[in-house]
Amino acid sequence: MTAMKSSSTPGGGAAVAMPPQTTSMSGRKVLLEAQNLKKHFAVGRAGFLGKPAGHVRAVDGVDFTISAGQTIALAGESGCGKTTLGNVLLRLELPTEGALLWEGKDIVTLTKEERQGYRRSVQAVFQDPWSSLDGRMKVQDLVGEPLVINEKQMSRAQVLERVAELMDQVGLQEVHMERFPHEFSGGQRQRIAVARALSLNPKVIILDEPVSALDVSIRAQVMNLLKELQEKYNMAYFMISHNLATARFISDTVAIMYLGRFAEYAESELFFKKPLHPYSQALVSASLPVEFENRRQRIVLQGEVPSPINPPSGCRFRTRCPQVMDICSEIQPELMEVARGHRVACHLYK
Amino acid sequence: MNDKDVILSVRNLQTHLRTRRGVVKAVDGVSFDVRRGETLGIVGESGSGKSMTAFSIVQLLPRVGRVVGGEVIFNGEDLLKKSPREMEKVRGKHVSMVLQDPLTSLNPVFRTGDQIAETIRHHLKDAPDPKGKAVELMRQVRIPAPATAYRYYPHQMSGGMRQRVLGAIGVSCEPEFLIADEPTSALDPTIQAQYLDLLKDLQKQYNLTIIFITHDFGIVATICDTVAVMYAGKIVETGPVRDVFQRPSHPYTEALLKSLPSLEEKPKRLPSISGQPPMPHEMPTGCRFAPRCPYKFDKCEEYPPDTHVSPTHISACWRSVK
Repeated sequence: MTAMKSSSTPGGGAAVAMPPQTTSMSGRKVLLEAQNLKKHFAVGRAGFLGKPAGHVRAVDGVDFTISAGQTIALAGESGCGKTTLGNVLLRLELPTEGALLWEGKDIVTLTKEERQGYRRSVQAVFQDPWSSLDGRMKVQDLVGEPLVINEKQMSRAQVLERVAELMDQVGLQEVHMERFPHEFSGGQRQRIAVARALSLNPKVIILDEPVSALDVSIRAQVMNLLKELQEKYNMAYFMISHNLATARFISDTVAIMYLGRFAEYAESELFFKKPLHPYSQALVSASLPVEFENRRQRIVLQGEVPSPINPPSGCRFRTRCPQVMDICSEIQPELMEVARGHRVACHLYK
Repeated sequence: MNDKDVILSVRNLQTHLRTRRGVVKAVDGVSFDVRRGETLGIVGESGSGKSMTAFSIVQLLPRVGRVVGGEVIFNGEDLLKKSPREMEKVRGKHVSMVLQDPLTSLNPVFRTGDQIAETIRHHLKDAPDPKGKAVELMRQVRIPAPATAYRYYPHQMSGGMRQRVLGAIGVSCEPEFLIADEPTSALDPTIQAQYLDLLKDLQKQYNLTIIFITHDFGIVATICDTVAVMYAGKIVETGPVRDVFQRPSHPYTEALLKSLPSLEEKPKRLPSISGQPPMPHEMPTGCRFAPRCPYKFDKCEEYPPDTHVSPTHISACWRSVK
């Protein structure tokens, strides 16, 4: 399998991406760079101590960069590998193949100190604030915990002062610090999770479906908060979402993932004006708007997502693609730039 | 349209839940009509009472729940007056339900096909070939290779397939009325699109009347004819979907529709609703939405009456009262 060597910068040229990038096309500082990143999981064994019967190719060769202040939205259906990719970015999983570079250094070979620095710089907010916050800890301890661990020189009073400051930034009050998570609503809990992620002044925050567990009338508040914080601190966001309208609001770059690979990678404006990959088009049309005028054409895909253990030959989407051609079963399409800032992996755009 | 078309009429339905912290009025005086062959969407946030409304209709409330008032007139008969045994005959045969989570609604130790056949045997005692009918139903809900799939256990199927098995059970006795409680919220977007398509086809084929319960305004806009918007145990606005979505009359509907992000444009900020829905034990006495409402005025201390903004479009807001 060949990699998408040409896709190292969003909107960038066809540089063969081995030397790490320092600035992106837009002149922003590159923080993270994935080069032909893969994560496979062994499944099943042929007998005791036998070889694994197969591999789930959860992430199977993706290239991208994350720059300061940028928001990438990663969309795709369950099982496409988006959460695994998020876990690799958090260094909770190490890549099977390829490399993930943090400010030019491979995250696998970081020294212990560098690793700590990485963990401080790359934080996460998870989907479900009911399970991501320890119910037996007070809010001040939840938000202050990263400081207690990482900033050993800070006194208790200094930590509490910083927590109070963070509470204010996410729209909670100081009086809330003494309370426990169960005393809060979903939206407030997610604010606590955001405050905790912010505590160490991270450079990148991985947002794994940050609003999908919240009530509809609360989502807009939390999305606005995330945007305000980004404008203030110039953090990069890597947001995993299956809701394209949310992705549209928050992101400047969209990556559409299907069975471990990017089907399309584009600036949001270009993508939502004209999604090119047939899978992207189906995904966009499956996102149901409340408007009645100018509705996009509905495309209903047949069949289901094939197994990532044994993905189809050639293009992985061909088994469900309404525009499938002969070549699709033979050659896997590479992610190619078809317009400035718009990359797609599909034989239709040759 | 005349009243003969009304297949289900719910009048002032009240359902209470007994909890440790006191009685929760989960459904607090809800009224609506559903006409034959139409799809009503009941939309609301968690805790708004939308599912409890549905469970009250078929009387499958949790043990702590009880309908304490109102009428549920189905085909001229009040379902609330029926005995549990009589209700058993109504459920499945005349009114059936499709629930949110296919993993918990299917029995894990029985083959999926047998679970469809069981429903047929139970309700249609003289059905000649329940197994054959089950296979045919699986074909209708577009399960590939239905004869083989008949022998699958639920864990051998994907989420989308399991949900279609539930759909097959739902229509197996050719009911007139189907209540679908968030049937697609566990499904991926493209699989959800397939399922909604299937539901529309089944509706045509069986002339089904459907109540579709969801929190997703997009689904309502796509498949429903009329909509009832619920907030804190009350219906705040109801009417034809287009009227309600294009000219929302209740401030809650209006604010919620505005706060939804869109694929077509990227605003700098989303117009958000401040505050949160009221806790069930601390309901405001007047309009439930008043504490969050930008138009709030003195009158809102008192609960507003259902007011017609057009012959079919009703809103419970003092601003609509002329």
